[in-house]
Amino acid sequence: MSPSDYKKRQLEALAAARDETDQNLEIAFDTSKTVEQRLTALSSLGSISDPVYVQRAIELINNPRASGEVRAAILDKIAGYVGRDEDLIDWLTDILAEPSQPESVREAALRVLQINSFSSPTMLAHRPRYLRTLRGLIDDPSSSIRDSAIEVLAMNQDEYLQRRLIEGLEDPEKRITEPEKAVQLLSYDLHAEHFPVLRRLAQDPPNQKTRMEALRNLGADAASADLLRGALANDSEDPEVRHLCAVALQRIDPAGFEAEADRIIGEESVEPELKVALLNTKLHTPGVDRRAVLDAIGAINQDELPSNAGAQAANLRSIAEQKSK
Amino acid sequence: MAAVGAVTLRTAAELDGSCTEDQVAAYIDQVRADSSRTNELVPLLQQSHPVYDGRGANAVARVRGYLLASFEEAGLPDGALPHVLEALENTQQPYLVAAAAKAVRGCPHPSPELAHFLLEGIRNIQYRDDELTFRSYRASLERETTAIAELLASLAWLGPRAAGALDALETVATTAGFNQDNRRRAREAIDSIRAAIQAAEPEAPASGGCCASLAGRADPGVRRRESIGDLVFEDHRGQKLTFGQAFTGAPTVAAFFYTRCANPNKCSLTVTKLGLLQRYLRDRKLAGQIRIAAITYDPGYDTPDRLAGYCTNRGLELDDDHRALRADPERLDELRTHFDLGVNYSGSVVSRHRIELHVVAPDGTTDAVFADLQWAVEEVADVAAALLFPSKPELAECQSHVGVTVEEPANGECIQRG
Repeated sequence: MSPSDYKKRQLEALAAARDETDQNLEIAFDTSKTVEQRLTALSSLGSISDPVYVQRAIELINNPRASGEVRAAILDKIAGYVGRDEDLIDWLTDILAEPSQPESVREAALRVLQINSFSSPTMLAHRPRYLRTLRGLIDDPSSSIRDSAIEVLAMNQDEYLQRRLIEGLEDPEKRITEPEKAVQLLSYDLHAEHFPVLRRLAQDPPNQKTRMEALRNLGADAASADLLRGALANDSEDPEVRHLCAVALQRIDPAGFEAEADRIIGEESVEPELKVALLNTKLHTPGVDRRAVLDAIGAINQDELPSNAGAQAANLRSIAEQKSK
Repeated sequence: MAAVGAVTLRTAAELDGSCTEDQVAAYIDQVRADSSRTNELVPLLQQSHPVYDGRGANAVARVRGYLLASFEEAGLPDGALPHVLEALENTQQPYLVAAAAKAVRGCPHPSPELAHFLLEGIRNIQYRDDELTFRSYRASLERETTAIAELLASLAWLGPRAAGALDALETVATTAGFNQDNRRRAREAIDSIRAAIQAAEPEAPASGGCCASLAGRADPGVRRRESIGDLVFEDHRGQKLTFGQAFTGAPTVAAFFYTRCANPNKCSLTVTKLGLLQRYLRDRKLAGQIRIAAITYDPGYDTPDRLAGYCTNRGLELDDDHRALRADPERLDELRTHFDLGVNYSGSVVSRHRIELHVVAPDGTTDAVFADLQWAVEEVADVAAALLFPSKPELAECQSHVGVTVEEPANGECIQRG
């Protein structure tokens, strides 16, 4: 093919792509089409950046009679454009805060705002109002909006949210989310003042999931080493709990973890699956004797292992062999 | 106001970690209403004050912020100024930055240098701002101000003394990285400052003002004669050594940090600057004569591997003369007392700490402390080098030239080699 033919073909392909985009845009805005057709057209589009189409999108999003799904889908397509315009960010924040808006549209608004909070200086300048709006959503009637707002506030290490989460863990009447989720969210911030609550929950939990989350996250609290060691050493404890305590203990007391892990691995009565899990954790401990780990893996009766643990043991052997060379 | 039924505290001596936050806030309210008692609040700003014992980072920030903000009405005592400037220069928490900005407005003799610190506050908080309130101790959803709003208000308040900030304010007024409200406030601040400049009478060159007391950040008068000679440290390789082995026999620059510090202006920058100091000393043929030690506030969590990774990732090359250290966790209190560390804890977790670097003399006593504000590599190097020739400080100045090795001669003449 000659260069001029190649160029011609490329230009034709570009023109065809533009035509297809224009057609999909027209379908997306065409109220005579079904919701499904419009959503399919939108899914074929990249972002919308042409100011004329952005304006049409804004009008569509502002139309309360239009399908919530279509409004949400088209909002996702103008995320980049919104992030450059302070007035549009304010407009979206209003949509997010308004309980009478369809849930799908509010969720899309939060999604777009959150995307822009990573990439847009204009959005970052808007942060005080954004956080204020999110705090107001902690008690929103929509559970999905509540959960999303709480998650974003937790990622921002919001002090007000942390207080509300801790209050909820101390008094079930004040819960804003499930206790195990509250523990996870508090653990995004080392300085969330939550370790005393976690230690209490590890010993007196509302449910097992909460206990496990509490133990897992006490791996950041050097003062909890004894608590974790005790749970790890308890032969009547659930093996999954023992393993997560091992991982947590390894973070704050590697020597203590290794001593207890060696004791457990050496006991015949302990489930092979737990032994494999502990060996996996050992392998990731700085300074570990990898040859010793290899020998220990070899000593485990592979026939007693469930298939996934057997695969894990084989993988460990391979890693330990490579690292000990 | 204190909660119903809570004991009202009347004196600073009653303040410790067992008091509720409401009691502490009520005490602050009580004192700030009486201008004759304002100086009672200053000791509460020390990071190691018992009022912070056992409190988490959020609680410490609430107390400190409320305290700093009170100086707007009560007047800013000299002793509080370093803490105000520290918050502006280094903190990324909006509440503390806003409180420090408010405290500036209580300064009886403001200096133009304050404008620099307020602009640093804007730089620190630009993308981390939040809505705040100072109308009550604990923030609810109703909040009336932001950190940037307070910073801009304080720049406007400085009037002609903020003349040096006009270019930076022009940037704030015209940049999309600030929202409409802040751009408007910046424009108003510019107009206010310009009007104040025009209306101001010509002043004699400024001599003094609030920041004069901060000239020369080292505190050369601090000396500690006590030793904790048998306190054991573990270094980045897991090697054990005593305080005596680590800190005597040569001058040592010892800075404190911890790997889980979330403020990049503090620990991360401190260790990075230790790396710069290391290279500076090497260029001046002082490597091997002056040691560097990075000591963790968090010995329970900062294992040798974590210490090594953190320091080497920030350019500090570790060896026998340049170590990362953790003290025996069981004896952490002795370390805190010996160095009078500006740190407090909630359980095992550091809740707040200051920037601090100690220059330790060859006999193990502290010769100088650089605290709260960012220290300059050259200044620290000069103070440490002076300890090499304690009877002839002028030789330390000779040593400051790159590539020159100085020997202290018997006849008093400076011998330069290299």
